[in-house]
Amino acid sequence: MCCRACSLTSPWQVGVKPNSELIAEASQHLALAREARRLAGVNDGLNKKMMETETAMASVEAWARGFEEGEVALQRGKEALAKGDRDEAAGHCRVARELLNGGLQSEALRGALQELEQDLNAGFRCIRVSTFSSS
Amino acid sequence: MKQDDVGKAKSEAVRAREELGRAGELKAHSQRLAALEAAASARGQELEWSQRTFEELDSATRSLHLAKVWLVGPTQMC
Repeated sequence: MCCRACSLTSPWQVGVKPNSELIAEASQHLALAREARRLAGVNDGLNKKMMETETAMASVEAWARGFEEGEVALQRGKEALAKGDRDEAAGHCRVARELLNGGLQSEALRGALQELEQDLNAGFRCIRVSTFSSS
Repeated sequence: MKQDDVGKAKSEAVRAREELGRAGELKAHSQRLAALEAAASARGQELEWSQRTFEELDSATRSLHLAKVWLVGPTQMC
């Protein structure tokens, strides 16, 4: 089981639904909750839970935006590396690294960034070796 | 009118007044009961909506949790 909150039988099931769909789902539930709260009258416990959920929603949305930025940076980095533009690739890697160092948690992004940085460093090593060999 | 008849009429008048008083009380109680029933019904509906709100918030929390796991990665979360 993944944890008590999500009761998944195994972590791989997480990938079954894309996060954008999950966020949209949460947003729909939140909209329905707001409607229902309007009819529920005054209830401090409910208001507190509503605020907590709204905060969690904002946090996940911010994470999703950061994740998307990181994905775009890594994709552009890969494309730049494929074109042979290492400086541009390094720039995109830096953007992704800054996002991860700035609080964005994502195993997938971190793994992809490490791969790209390895490719980039391997490329630099090739240049150094070839420069050294030719001189 | 005989003295007995006067006494009987008086006691009937007293009983009638008492019954009238009870009827008035009954009406007031009935109105109060109707008001309480209406309030209970409204409160019951509020509680139902409150329950529905909690359910929707739980569903939202679950979806958000899964989205977080999706973004962060399961080993970091759980």
